[in-house]
Amino acid sequence: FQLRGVRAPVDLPFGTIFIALPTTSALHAQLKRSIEATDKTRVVGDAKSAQVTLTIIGDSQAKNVLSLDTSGKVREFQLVRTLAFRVHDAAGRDWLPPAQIVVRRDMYFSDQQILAKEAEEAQLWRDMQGDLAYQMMRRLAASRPPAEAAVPVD
Amino acid sequence: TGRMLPRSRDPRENYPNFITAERLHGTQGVETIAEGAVELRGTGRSVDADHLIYRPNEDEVEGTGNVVLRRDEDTMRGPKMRLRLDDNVGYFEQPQYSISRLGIGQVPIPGKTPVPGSGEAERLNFEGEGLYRMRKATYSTCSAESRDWFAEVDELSLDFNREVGEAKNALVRLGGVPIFYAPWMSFSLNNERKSGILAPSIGSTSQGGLDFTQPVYWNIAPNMDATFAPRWIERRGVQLGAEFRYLQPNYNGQIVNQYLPNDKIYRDDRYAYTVQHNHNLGGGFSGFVNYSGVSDSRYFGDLSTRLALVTQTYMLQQGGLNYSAGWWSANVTATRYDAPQDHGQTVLPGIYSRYPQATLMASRPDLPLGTTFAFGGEYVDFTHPTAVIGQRWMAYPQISLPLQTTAFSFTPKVGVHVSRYLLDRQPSGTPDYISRNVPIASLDSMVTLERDIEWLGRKDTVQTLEPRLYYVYIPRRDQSQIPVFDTAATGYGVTQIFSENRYAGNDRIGDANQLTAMVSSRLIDSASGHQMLTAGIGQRYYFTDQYVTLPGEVPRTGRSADLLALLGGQVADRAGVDALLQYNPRDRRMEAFNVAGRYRPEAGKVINAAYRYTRDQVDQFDVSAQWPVWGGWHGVGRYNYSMRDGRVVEAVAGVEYDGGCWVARAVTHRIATTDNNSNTAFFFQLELNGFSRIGSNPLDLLKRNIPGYGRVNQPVADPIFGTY
Repeated sequence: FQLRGVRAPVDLPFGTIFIALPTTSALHAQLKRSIEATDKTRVVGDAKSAQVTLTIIGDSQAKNVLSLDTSGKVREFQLVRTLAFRVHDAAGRDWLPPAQIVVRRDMYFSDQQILAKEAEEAQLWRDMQGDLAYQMMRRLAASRPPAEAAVPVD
Repeated sequence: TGRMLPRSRDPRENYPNFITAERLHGTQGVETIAEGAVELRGTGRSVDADHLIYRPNEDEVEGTGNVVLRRDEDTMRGPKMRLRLDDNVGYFEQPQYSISRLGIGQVPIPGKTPVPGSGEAERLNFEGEGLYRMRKATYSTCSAESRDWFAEVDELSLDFNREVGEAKNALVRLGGVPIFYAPWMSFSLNNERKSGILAPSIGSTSQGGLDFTQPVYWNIAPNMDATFAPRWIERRGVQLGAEFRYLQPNYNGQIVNQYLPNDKIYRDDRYAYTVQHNHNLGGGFSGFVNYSGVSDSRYFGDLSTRLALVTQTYMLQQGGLNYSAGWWSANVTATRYDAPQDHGQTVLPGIYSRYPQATLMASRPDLPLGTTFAFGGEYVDFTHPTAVIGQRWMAYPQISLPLQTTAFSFTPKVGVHVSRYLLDRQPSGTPDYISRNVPIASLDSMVTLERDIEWLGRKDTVQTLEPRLYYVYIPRRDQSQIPVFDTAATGYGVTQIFSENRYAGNDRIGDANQLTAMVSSRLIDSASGHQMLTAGIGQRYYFTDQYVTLPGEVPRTGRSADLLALLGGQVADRAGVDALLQYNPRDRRMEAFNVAGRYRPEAGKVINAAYRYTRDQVDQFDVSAQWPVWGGWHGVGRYNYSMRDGRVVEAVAGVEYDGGCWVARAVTHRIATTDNNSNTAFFFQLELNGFSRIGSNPLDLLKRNIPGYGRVNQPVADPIFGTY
């Protein structure tokens, strides 16, 4: 094992990116922080001045019943966030073809503690978003300019 | 011999019609009479007939004897036809027809395939572009070779502009046997939403007996619809159901209401309703209402057709207003959890209402010296019919200094958690005013190491190793006189061991002098960035004994908390495994152990298996699957068994048959509703592709019970992402 960044540079392959999400969204803030923590890449405010655009194709949050007790009450929920996205340039050419990340967390539940479970659930969603942003950064780092991607591999 | 007849009345179609026949005569420019193997060809269409008259001024064709009309993919054949070609007005006598096309002017969309409809009619009227009306007709979406089902209809109209079909006095036959009759019905020509009387639902439940629902669907607008569903339950009475949904760019919502006057088993009126509305008010403001109510605590177990709702106990009644300005946000909400009563008798403990709750959140990174400022503030007025009530003010300003490089991250953070309580109904001897100030300090540090490895034959794999240490210090504060409004101990998971407070809620700030250590490792495909596997092991160590407790909580004295280990893997969208283990080293016993695997090689094939154990709470295994068995037969099932209680929690067993242009599903479902009772239901559904679903609808049930379930006659709903 070597320290990250020693073995190979970890820069993103683009200099500027536009994140097609409302700037007030929590995911936008988190991605902006993660992207700008890299040395070379900056998040810009419009698609025209950006080298690439990150488009969210789908973002769904589900709270599924994971287990019931024998009186039909929920014992555990599973929180699932599914995010689908792609990275493309102004001409619509893919730098990263549509990709999907699924993050799951299980939560023990008791309806007598419903208010505390609200707070715990919010904490889990925040943590899941951190995990999601980490995995998205890995995908962004693997994106490639379309010309390069089109070169046949021999 | 043959002759060309130029025609240019319609500016959109400048191409002439050509006629070939054994004999041609008539008046130039007025009428052409063709006899013997006549063939008329125009743009995208042709007419064959034994005898044909063409009138160019009207652009009208009159054919008799073995008339065949072909238009794009459509074909009609019969003894006599008269048709104005340019505006599609005329009639066809005793045609055999096959019509298959998208709506006029529509481009094909992948996944939205036109449904081919075919049959015979006594007479077919062409009533304009894309409009057909038939008398004494049959209709089917099956291929002509294997016509498994067809509808016999007195009057059938197909409107390809609106993509809607309508039938009067429709009798559906499957394999020749009449199975369904409707005086009037409407259906979609492109498998989309449609207005009209939907096919009835037929089922039975162990408690209610026979169960019959006749839904009526009203597609008010593309973004608004309503469903009315009167339902007859043999041993209970008649329930009225209504559902209204709307979706606009700035707001959306739904209203669902069910009412059963005088339930003959329960001997009272029963109802349930929910109102949801979300509204983007612009300028950073948004508002929402989420208000539900139910007549009694057993309503959903007894009467819900949506079995996902069986699990609801308290009914959320909430409204609020949010404002977001990017780096800070505020919201005001009023929230109540209604405890349903039985015949006016309270059966569930009350939950605190928050009238109102106001919160203020702010986060400012990139301040001088690289510091980050965060603030959480809250005011709540807690009310309750009997217990201690009061107001709580809370403010928690925090400053952190994140130091981050590619390989290292190091974040010291300090904050002060300030709270004030103004209480009522406190036990005598305890104060009505309580203030609590708790400083909180933490240090989070992580190193990221990497190496290239070969894994399952993949050379482009990066393995990471991420040791993380998290230290928290929170001094002791006596909180024993503070009531518990909204607070409980959190579960013990990876998220929770890296949080400051061991409680969720603000009524207890747990004293801490503790270190959490965890080592994680991920396997990442470096070509795509896809995370294939993640694993980790972590534990929390305490340097002091626990002081702060909730009422009834026994303080911990041991030094080491439980060991957590987790494993998660995902091979594309096809297979995955998740496992979590919580081991208690003090008593040398397993506190929790969950393992779940899923395998979905393609749509319509999925297997899920899970074992879940939480000491004294859960001990269940759960398997579910959908799998093709033989021919068009698919099996679906779920078995969820609780070893702790020695009984089945929920079970589903069923078969699906895909007959090409129809699907039949028969499903039985059993769910434990109380400690001693279960409810068993039987669902039957026949789906005639592109026409109708007959029977009760077990699709929601199957989707909930079998994660990854896909409809056998709609194999790829979303070709990119499927429905996992």
